[in-house]
Amino acid sequence: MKYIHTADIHLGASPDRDRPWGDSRRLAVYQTFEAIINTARNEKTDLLLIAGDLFHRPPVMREVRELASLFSRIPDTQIVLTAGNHDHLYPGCAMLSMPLGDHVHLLDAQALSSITFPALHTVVHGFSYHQAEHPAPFPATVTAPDDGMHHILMLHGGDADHLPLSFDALASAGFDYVALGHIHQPRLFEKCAMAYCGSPEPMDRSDTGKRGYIKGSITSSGTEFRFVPSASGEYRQVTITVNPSSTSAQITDTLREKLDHNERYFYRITLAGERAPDIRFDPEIIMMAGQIVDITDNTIPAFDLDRLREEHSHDLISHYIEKLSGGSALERKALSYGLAALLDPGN
Amino acid sequence: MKINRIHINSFGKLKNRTFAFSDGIHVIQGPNESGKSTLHAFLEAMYFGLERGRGRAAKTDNYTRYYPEEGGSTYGGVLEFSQNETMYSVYRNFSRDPSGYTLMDETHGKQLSPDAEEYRQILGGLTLPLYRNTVSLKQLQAKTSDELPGLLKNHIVNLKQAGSASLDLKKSKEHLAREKKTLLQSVQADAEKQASLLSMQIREEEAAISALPDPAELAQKQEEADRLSAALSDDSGTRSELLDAIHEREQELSDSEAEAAKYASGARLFAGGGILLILAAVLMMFVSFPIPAALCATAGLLLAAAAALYSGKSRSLRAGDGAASDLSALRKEEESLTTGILKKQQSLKALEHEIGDLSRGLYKRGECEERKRTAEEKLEALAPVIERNQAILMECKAIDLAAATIDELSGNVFDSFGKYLTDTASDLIRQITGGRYTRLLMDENMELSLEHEHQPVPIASVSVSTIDQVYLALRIACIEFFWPEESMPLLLDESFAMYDTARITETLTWLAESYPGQIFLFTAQSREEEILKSCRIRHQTIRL
Repeated sequence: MKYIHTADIHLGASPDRDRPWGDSRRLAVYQTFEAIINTARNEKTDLLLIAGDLFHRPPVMREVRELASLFSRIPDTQIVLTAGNHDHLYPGCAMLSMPLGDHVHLLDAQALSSITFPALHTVVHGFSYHQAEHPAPFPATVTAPDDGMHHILMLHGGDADHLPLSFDALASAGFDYVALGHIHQPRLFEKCAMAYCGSPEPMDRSDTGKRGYIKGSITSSGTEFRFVPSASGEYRQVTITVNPSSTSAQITDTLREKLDHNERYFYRITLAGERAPDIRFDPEIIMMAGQIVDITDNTIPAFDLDRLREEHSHDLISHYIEKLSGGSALERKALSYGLAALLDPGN
Repeated sequence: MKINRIHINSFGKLKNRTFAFSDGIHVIQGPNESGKSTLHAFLEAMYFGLERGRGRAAKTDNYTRYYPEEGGSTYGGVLEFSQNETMYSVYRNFSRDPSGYTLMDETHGKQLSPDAEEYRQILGGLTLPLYRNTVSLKQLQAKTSDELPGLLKNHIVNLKQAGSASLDLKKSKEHLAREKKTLLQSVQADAEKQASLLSMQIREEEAAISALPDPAELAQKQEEADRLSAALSDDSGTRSELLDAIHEREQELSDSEAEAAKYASGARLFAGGGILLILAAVLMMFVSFPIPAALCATAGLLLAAAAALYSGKSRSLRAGDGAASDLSALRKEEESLTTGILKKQQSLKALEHEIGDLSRGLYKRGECEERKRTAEEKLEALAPVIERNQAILMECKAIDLAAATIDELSGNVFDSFGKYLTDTASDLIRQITGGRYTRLLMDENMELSLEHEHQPVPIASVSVSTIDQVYLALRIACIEFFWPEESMPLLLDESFAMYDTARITETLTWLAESYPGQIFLFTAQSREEEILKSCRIRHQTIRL
């Protein structure tokens, strides 16, 4: 039995919509999903598992119609899907009221339910979100029935607000495969047949690294699966360490040199290190260095605190430094603002 | 800290002079314009260098004022002082570099790198503002006793901020307020409100969608309508067949009736003929006319024919009766079919009406979905705005914290400093005045008063020399605050000009007994020296 496990496709999302390449990203989300459908057709995949968040938002009727038409390309593949937090079901929603095809099976119940494919000797278990959140954890007591069938469990979640999971319990629950969704970062568990397939295309700038889906097979001798990269774009994290002589122009130059200017790479830049207290890096200028989606400025003004404390041991500044040396982010910021104001109030 | 020796190469009117100092009191005596202020300025310049004014200010700055008449090559000198049991020498040549110096550790015989921070540490944290506010204080240049309390008050304010003399808290606060204002300008104020409105709208649209028909419902009704109209068309087929059959039957029926009528009229004719013949025969019988046999036979024949024709009629009529009952059955059938068709037509009409409603509902639902989608997209577009807003608000919170901390510190720390000052100064005043005044009091408005026999006496109503004593006491309190472990030199510039002899005696006696550091008494008069001599207080006199 050959299967493909995907999730978090987020059809209808348009990542980086505010950037010049926003349109191509929106298209990439669709194209990558279409490519998975085509792969299923070409490779005669028996089972396509979609573990939630196929859509970026609860789909409208026309979107479901489009989906049904995509699914109709692979009539010989059984498709099982569940709704995730993003495309959760609600009474009368299009997903519940539109036909998807006889080979498409939405496990629409809020409680765990299953569908049996006698020809594939396989049972798929899963449930759908009916709200955007699911704070109740997945019960650690669920185990696969011991009936000689292959049992696959599909779950969407794994963080505090979305079906908290005990991976240890899942790993030992006896399923032939646990298909996880919700976390966009792929994660293949070792020593057990369980994986987060990740999103096939990175969804937003926080999705750095490689993206794809899982291809696997279950036979009497066990489960085999592997990660297949599919994303056409990739977000990359680059950290630039500044020094007190750094300027926006200088950082821009450094980035121009340092970045791989392949159009499939999108960069998130983090600025770290110490900047001159009076400098303010201009993100607009720095963004001109390439396909940069955002810039996080974590630089701190280069105040020599020990020295300032000494130099101003008799005045307010040493007390000020003392008072705000708690180390919280807010205090660090307040320290910088205050010192700048105290040392150079005219600026 | 102890100043051991100074050598002036060239500084203002002083040239090539060496002064060696010991512990205790030094009286630096000389008439006006003899160089007392110059010596005073020299000490400060040796410690901290000469600041050069810019532009027009350069013409009146200390650098220009003390620039040697014969040229600048020797403008400067040496200052030797000991601190923490180490002796240091500071060499300066102001014409080469007004703020530059060479620093020697004489005890260990090594030259130290001119690191400002290290130098400051060597000076025990003494900075120029501190020096000017504590160690070396010019006299309160008040000419009238009315001005003195005001000057003293100012002085206390300055003392309170002595350490912060280089800070301008008001300006700092303004700077923070400016920063915050700039930040707040980039906040999209209504983003959060918009977001919550959009979330609400999404929930409303969702509820509306749930209440509206879904496509499955329409498909079901459509199917029902299709079935019904198929049945209708079947029914109307059946009906037209029935109508045909009825028509046929009716035709048949009318045919047989015509036949029967034909028989009947024939029978009537024959029967009529027969009856006429019989009547004729009877008539003949009455007139005893023999009845011709032929007549009778003819009548009989006629009657027989009539009978035959009657039977034909009744046969036709009987056949017509069968067709009629058939016809009524058919008619009944047709009738019920028609009723059925009407009923079906009605329900189809109702169904079509319903389908119309459903389609309209579905269209509405489509609109709801699109509105919901638009709202969702707007909400998503707002997310980064809200994120940015929150980041900005975090910055503003940091600025608020910075401002609040500065406020708190300038209030707390310096209030406690103020309290310390008045407490210590009270002790000192009690000592200096021999118990005449027991406490220095300062209210919230910095108004000072002295406690005399448990009564507060406003500072404005005490004598000028008492105010001077308070001023001295505050200075010493301040020095003790900043250098609790060390003895610092104290430079008194014409401090006792307003004192009467008794007051000078009192003050000097107290200073000699209580002040641990060196004292440099700059004076144009000989009074101080005479008093010191008469009180047998050890001192060194330097005449300029």
